[in-house]
Amino acid sequence: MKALVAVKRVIDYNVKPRLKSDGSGVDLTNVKMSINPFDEIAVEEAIRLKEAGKVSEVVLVSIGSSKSEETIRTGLAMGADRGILVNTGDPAIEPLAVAKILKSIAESEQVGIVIVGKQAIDDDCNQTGQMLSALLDWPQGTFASVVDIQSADKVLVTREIDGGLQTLELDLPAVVTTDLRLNEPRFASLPNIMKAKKKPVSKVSLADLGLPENFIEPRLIVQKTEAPEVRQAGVKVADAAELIDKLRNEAGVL
Amino acid sequence: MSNDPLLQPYQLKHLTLKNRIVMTSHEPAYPEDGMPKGRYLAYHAERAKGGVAMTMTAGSAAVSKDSPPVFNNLLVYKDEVVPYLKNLTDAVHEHDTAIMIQLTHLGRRTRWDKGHWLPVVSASHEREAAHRAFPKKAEDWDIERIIKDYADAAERMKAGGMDGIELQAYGHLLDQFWSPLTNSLESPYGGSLSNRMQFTFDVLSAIRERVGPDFIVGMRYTGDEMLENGISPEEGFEISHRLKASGMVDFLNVIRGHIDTDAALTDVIPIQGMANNPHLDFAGEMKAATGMPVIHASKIPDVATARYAVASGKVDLVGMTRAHITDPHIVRKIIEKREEQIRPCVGANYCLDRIYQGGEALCIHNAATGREQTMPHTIAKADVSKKVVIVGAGPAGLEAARVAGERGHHVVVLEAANVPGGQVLLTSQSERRKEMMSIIDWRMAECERLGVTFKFNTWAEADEVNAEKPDVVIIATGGLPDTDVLAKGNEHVVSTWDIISGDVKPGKNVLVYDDAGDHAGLQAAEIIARSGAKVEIMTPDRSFAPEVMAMNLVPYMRSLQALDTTFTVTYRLQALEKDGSVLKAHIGSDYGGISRVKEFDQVIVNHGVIPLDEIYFDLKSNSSNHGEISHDQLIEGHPQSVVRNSEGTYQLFRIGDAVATRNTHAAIYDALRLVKDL
Amino acid sequence: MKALLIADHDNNHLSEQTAKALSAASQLGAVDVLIMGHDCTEVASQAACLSGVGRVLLAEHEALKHQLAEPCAEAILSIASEYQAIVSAASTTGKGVLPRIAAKLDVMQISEVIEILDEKTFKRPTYAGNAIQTVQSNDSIKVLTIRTANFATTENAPTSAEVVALDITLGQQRSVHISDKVSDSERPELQSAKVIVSGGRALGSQENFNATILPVADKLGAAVGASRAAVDSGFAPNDWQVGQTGKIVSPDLYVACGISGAIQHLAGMKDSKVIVAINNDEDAPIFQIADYRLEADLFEALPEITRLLS
Repeated sequence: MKALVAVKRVIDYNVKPRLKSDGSGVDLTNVKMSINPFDEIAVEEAIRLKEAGKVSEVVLVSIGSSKSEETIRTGLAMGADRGILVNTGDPAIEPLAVAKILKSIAESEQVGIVIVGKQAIDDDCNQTGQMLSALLDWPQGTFASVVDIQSADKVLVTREIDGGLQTLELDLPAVVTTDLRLNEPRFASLPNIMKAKKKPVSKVSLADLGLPENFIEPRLIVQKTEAPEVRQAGVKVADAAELIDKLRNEAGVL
Repeated sequence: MSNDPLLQPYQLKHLTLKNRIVMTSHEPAYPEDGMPKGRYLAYHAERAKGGVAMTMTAGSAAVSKDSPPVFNNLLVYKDEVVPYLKNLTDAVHEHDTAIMIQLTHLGRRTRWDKGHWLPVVSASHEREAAHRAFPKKAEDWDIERIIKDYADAAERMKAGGMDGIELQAYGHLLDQFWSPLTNSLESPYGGSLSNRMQFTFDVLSAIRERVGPDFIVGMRYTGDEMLENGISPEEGFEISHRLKASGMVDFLNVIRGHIDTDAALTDVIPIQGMANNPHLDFAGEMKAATGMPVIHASKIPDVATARYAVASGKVDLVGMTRAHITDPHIVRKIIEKREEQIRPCVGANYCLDRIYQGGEALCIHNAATGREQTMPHTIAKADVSKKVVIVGAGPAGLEAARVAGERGHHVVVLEAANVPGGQVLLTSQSERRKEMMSIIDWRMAECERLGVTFKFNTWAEADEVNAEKPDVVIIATGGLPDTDVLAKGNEHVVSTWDIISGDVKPGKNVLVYDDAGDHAGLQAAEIIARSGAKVEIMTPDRSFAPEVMAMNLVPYMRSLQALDTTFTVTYRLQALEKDGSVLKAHIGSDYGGISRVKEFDQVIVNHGVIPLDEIYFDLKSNSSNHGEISHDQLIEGHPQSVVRNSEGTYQLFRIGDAVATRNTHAAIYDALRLVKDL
Repeated sequence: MKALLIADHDNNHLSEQTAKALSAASQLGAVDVLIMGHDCTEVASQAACLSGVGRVLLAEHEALKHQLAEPCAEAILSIASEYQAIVSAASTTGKGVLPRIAAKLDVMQISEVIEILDEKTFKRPTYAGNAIQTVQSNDSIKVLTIRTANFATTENAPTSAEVVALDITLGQQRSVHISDKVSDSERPELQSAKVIVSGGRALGSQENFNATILPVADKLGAAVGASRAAVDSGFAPNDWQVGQTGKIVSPDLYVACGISGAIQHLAGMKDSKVIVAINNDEDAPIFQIADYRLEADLFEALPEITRLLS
């Protein structure tokens, strides 16, 4: 069966985001961009499934500007077979639109499994996989920490839930979203980066997919983007009790 | 006044030290004709300028003619050393830095076929594994003359302006007398501990007679040989008490362990991948037991650990010696609160390994160390700012970017991968080599500070480079593994990169044919052996992994020997033949007359890299210099001015493995030396 | 505006998260609470006691026993048209179910709401909380998950709300629950942990490290970290090392105990949301990046913290 993996070009996880002073969003000029870490895990999992003989081909999709091809190449350097770039220009695309586009491709490619990252580290929505799954009427295995394809029809997914792990058996085709513990993505060596240059990446537009241009228009209006409340630096606490109180009630982390 | 424990002054007798950080004695092998001349002085002066409280300069300066230099030790048995020392001490004192020197007789830890071809002498006939010389067992007139030699040398050091001296007793003649393992003499110099220490006290008395009671004299000694039947910690404490009680010793520089084998030496001076400060607690115990001023060094590369060593009271002065080989300006950066800009010692130990092979100390990623007369530690700004495009963000490219950035040029780096690092990134995939990545991380931080632009995921072709409208293009693209060494069967070969990156899984019965002798071969072998495979490392060389050198070899050997790896030298892999799932290796020898076949299921070849030079050649004809580098201008430190094409719009240069496979130091030196004059 | 709140429960108890999500939902209008499960009438009664609940809808079905996303979504969709907002805590269930609803209703979901400005305007965190967005939705139904840490809980009401049993028909299920494994003994992994308690050289020994750091980590459900100095001294295993040559972490809360704050260590944890430093050296560099500083003897402070958390 074919595996479809969606990859998104996002701010590199090492980079501290800087906000534009006019509140219009995060400043991405000249900022290092990389493959979304959860998507990298998704690519790795698909490749491992291929190495185990469960998947015949790993197809990558990225939706965004032409620069997203870089992200596809990263996945190809890890060992994916080919890529599809859906060029939607620069503006950010919401999960609902992404899910619709992915549905179109999943159907035309007739894939047996879709693996996506659980969330993108820029918008942190955590919706795309589930939305795609609903639109396709497929079962979903979210926050997967183990993916075990049992046969052409069944996959066992162990997922991270509040307070533990849950194992589900899903009918294939299904959508799986990856969590951090699923795997450790492999190192993309230079020879593989070179091989990746030759792997095919087809470039399609919404029209090519038979989708109307307007449906990628965002449903949510982002009115402003601001920094979180800045806590007073270096608050000195007198004792353990005060520390716990502040962590609970001021910082909200306990 | 700073609260930082490291920046507190220290009073050692009459000597005031301005802070707690020192360079302990070490011999980077910069003497010329056995004398500390220009190169030597420049090295120490730079560190004095950098703010270190004291440099203890020469390790193992030789007091006698029958202690010939094995790592270019200073010959302090010659009167002619005094004026050179005067220059040196003046230069260091200028910066309010104290200066001392270590005196020694190497005993058995040297060679009889060096210098004056005198037999090496010790307190027994026990040969030292590292230097392999069978010693003469000392007789009365040997002991007498050596005592006088020490005294003469001490007097010279005082005349040369030294603030003090230190005697070496960890693996050298003094403690060859202390240790029951190397002392088979009769009374008065052999037998009981008092007898075994008699030689040392005779030496100290003779020294004191010459230099007086005020001159600072210390001892760097082992308080625990960590050898069965050697000096035990109990004896070590007793020795420390007696040194103190003698009233002739002003400070203790504490060592734990022994150095007569490569492995033992590496435990005393640990390298990357080994634990930091393994003997600090022991030093602290010595201090607590004796109440003496204590100096200690042993892999304390970072400021936080150094601070702890002093703040905890375990030591009075902390040695950050290799750290200063990498960055001469540590103290200044601490004072200026720029600790994060300290160039980190990554423990690659290129410095020490080179010394022990008879070369000079060079830092793997500071190409100015040991070259202070020709290379800058602080890069000067250029008169004219240029647009510099660098292809490749490995060590060569990043050093070029850093130096170009310091010079005020507008720098753009194009890198094919999503992350920087090149072959350094590859090697740091192994746990023990992780610290190597700091070579890259530090440069990335510096480049960020200097405003260098990076374009990752960019496979640069001529178009990408030309679009940047460069004045200078530097190609630092490294290379790809070259495994085509066999007459037949190259298609069956796996490269070391394949194994290290995880692209190819280890087989079960593997031959690692190491024809380059560097880290890649051993690193791949270790990964394969760890996976449970049977591994044979074969090399046509006379010894294996010559580029890895003695101390770096130690962790590999420990690992590989435990995993039953076999090492085969002097055989050459000639061809491979596939027979089903078996690989038949055809083996011959440079000595001729041998033709064997051995079976494996996987064969790795380590033969360096072939340059990735397509882009260089694409850009060559449009460049003004056709890529040519004038060696004279490079060596003399003049800007490159070759013109072969007056229509050319940019200068083109190639550095690092993109020229020819070498090593990390070569890559960084290529970059520094070229770009500092750009 | 009528809101449907999806309850979070285990068929026996209503979770604290539901009570908090309820206070968020109440800001939108009248709230009905939907309990989906099997043999969970008890949960319905608990929900009915909360203040601000209009009706409690009880959907019991074998297939809903483990609240898998697909049947839950199916059940919700059968009644969704009566509501203008579908709300859930951002629990595992909520996160799994609600996007399916949004997709089927062809609306965008607003995830992890931290503040409700009005019935169509919400604040939510992006870029790991470094950029807070104020978003407005003009979709006919608002689908929201609530970051409950930002909302107060709901008290009980003097009277109980009505519990209405729903008759739910579900189609063929293509996802089957196999097992659950409750992890009370397993510590989270460093790199994905929300809370990390880290020990440094000052712990002095492996025994001390384990006796002092581990209990606090257990109480907080935290991962355990260590400085390189602690690892090199043998107090903690290699894979607990946080720092430049160890692991790089960015939890919500990082508690550095007896760690001086070497540059190499900071490189590994400086992106933590909240940093607490406990050290008796007032000059320790770690205090420069700590949000909360406790200058105390960690052998007194940490047991005290453990005790207070019990």
